[in-house]
Amino acid sequence: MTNIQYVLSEEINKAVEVSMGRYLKDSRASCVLLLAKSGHLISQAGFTSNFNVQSIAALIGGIFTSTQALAKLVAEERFKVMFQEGKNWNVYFCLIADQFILATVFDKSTVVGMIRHAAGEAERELSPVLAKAIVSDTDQAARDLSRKMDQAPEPIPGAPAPPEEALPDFNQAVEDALSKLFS
Amino acid sequence: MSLINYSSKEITCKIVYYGPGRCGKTTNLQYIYSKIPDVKRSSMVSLATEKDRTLFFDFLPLELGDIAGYKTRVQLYTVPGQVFYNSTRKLVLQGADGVVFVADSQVDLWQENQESLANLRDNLSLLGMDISKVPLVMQYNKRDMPNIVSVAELDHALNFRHAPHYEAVATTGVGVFDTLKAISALVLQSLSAKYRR
Repeated sequence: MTNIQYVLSEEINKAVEVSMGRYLKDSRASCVLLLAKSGHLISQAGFTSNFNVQSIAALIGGIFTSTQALAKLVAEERFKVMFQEGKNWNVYFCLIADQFILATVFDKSTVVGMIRHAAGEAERELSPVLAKAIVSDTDQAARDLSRKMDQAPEPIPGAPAPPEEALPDFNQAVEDALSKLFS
Repeated sequence: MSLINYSSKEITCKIVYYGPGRCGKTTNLQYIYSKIPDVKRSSMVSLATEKDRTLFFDFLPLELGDIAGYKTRVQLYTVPGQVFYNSTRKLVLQGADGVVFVADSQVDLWQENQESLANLRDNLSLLGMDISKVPLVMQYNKRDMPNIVSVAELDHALNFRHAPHYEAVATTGVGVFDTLKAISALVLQSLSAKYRR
C-alpha cells in the first residue's frame, strides 16, 4: 500500500467549487463538506459558519474509515454510502473516487432521495477532477507534480541543471508561529 | 497524508501521538489545548470511554498561521494506547505526516514501551511507511515519577534512529511544546524537501 498525498491546483479548486455549488443547489441541502478520507477538509459550501468544520471533518474521516474496516469484516469490499438521521438534521455521506468523502448536512426542506440523486451527479463530476489531486507519496511523483504545478519550462537537453534552492529552516518559523498562537 | 492547496496557499498536515496506554498522549494534547487563548480556541475532540481512556482518537487542530508563504494548519491526533485497540490505532495512523512516540519513563512500563514501538513499526509498515524515514520525535514522559529509567537507557532502548528526544512531564507542560515544535518543524521540513522546486 502506498501512502498518498493530496495536492490541489487552482484548476482543481475551481472545478471542485463549481461542482459543490451546483450540488448544494440541486440537493437543497444546508451545507456540504468535501474531505479526504484522512479527515482533511478540502472544500465546503453552504451555511458552515455555525459549525466547527475542521473537527467535523476529522470525525467524519474517523467514522468512514472505521466503517470501511467493518465492511471488510463482513466480507464487503466497501460501504459507499452512510446516512444518519436526527430529529432536525440529517447527514448523508458518500465515498468519491475511493479517497474522498462528500458529507451533506440537510434538514426537512429536502429529502434523502433528492440528496442521493444529486450526490450521484456530483460524484460523476467530482471523481475525475479529484483523481488528479491524488499524488503517490514517492519522490518522483512529488517532483513531477511540483514541476507541473510550477509550470516550469521543460529543460533544454544538454543545458546545465539550475541550482537547487536551499531548504528554509522551519525551526524558527514554527517557533514564531507557536509563540504567536499561544500569546 | 498532507493536503497542499496551491491555490489558496494552505498546507494541512497530520501528526499522530503514539505510545503505550496511559503514557500521556492525551495529556499532551490537553495541555496544548489549555494554553490556547480563548479567542483562538476552537475545540478538542476526544472519543473516550467512560473511564476517560481513549477509545478512538483525540483530535486537536492548530492554526499555525503563515509559514513560508503558506497558511499552515497542523492536526494533532492521539491513538488509543491499549493493546487490544490495534485496528483503531492503524486507522488513526493512516496518513500521518509525522509521529511523536510518547514513552512512559517508569521502570514498570519498560516492556510496554518496547512493544508499542514495535507495534508502531509494524503498523507503519502495513500502511506503506518506513519508521526509519517518517518524521519522528521521541518524548520521554513522566520524568517526575519516583521510579524511572534514565534518559540514556530509554534512548538506547527505543531511539534506534537517533530522532530528536525530549524529557517531559505532560501534566505540567514540561517538554510538551518542545516536542510539538520539533515535530512540526520536521514535518514541514520533510514536505518542503519533497516539494521543493
